[in-house]
Amino acid sequence: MRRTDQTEPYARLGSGAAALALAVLLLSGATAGASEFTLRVDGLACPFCAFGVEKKLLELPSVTGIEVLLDEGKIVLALREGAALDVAALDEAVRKAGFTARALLVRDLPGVLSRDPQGELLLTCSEPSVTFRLELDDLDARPGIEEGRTLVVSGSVTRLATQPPLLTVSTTTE
Amino acid sequence: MTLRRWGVRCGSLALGLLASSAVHAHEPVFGVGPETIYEGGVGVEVGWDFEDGGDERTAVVDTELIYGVTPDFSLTLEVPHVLRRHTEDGTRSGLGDMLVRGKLQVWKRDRLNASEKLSLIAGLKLPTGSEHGDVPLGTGSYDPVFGIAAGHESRSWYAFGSIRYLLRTRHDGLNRGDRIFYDVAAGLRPWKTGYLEPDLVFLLEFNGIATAQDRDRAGAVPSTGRNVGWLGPTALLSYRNLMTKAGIQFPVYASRRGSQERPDLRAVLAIEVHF
Repeated sequence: MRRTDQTEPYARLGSGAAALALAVLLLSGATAGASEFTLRVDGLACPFCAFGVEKKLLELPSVTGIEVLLDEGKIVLALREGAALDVAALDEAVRKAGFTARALLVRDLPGVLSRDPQGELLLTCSEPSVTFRLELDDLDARPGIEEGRTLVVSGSVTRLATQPPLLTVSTTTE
Repeated sequence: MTLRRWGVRCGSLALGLLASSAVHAHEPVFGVGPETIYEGGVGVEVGWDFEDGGDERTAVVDTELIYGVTPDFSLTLEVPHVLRRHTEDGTRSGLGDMLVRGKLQVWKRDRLNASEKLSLIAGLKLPTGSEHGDVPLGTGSYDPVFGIAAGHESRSWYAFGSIRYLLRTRHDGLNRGDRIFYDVAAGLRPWKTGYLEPDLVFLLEFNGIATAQDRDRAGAVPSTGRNVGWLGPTALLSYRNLMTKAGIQFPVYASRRGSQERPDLRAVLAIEVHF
């Protein structure tokens, strides 16, 4: 019996599908395949309890697999290509499993900047299909923050049920 | 067999049927914890329960079905099949008294790698076991049970506590003594493993059962009413959605009226699967 929490393979994501997805991303030159979505979940104390989270998340059409990191309280998501990501549905799935989703961590997600009628900055992503409202420190001082520009962001969403979800950005690259 | 002796026999049988309960996630094996099952989840548990006390020995196969109505509310149906009940009056097997129970989680605090929960419990014991003959398998009465359970769960350690009250109703002129079940347990996870790895938790459980005297038309029934405290270790081994559990307990005190036998030991071996 291993005595340290080690990452396990994605549940239900075949190796063939993963290889194909990586090849498409490399050929397209896009960085979308490097994007990572991780749920921070509170209350995850045992593997037996975590089965319910697996069940509920895999019922979502956009989720093809999960990787449960118990000691970190995290669940890494494998998303279906071309699927629409419903952040509120992730929150609801975790709630139905009997736990609390504290945050959705987003890493290296590319998207196109725009502004809504209220002037709020939006990031529209195609892989997965999702729009975030951005919270960005020193917005006016950041170079490249203008409508129509493509940006790669990392950050977190802490109020998952809000529509559109508010992404607090920690890092940006063009 | 006289009504009074029948009351004594049924009392010890009902003790075995209600002392153990389904385990939803990690919970005490001999008591009840605050856990529910995820919404839409179905759990099936099959367990072998054994109790030995002087001239009486009872072995029961308990089948439990658990359903998660919401993440905070679960329903459980317990169906006991008495494999063998042996007393000085004979031996018998068959269906025992079934139990329907609901558990409502009224408070929860989730933290990183830990949670605390509080649940209310309500149920009804059904008179499905035969109450007739020298070795009855049931009490012939509808008996409600109420209680409260609380617990702490984390990657390293566990703590549980619960109290339940079994209200025993009059049947055929006999009013059996009500029961109070009081439980505490503490546990450790000595090795922290990952999600798709076996997980082992050890608990030390203390369970007390205080039973009031039976009463019939003539008054208090002799040799009824007792207070027994059990103590012993349990182990829960799980892998993903499958859990096996085992435990054994011995009485640390047994206050009994009249000529009641002192209980010797009780044990549980069960397997639970979630779908």
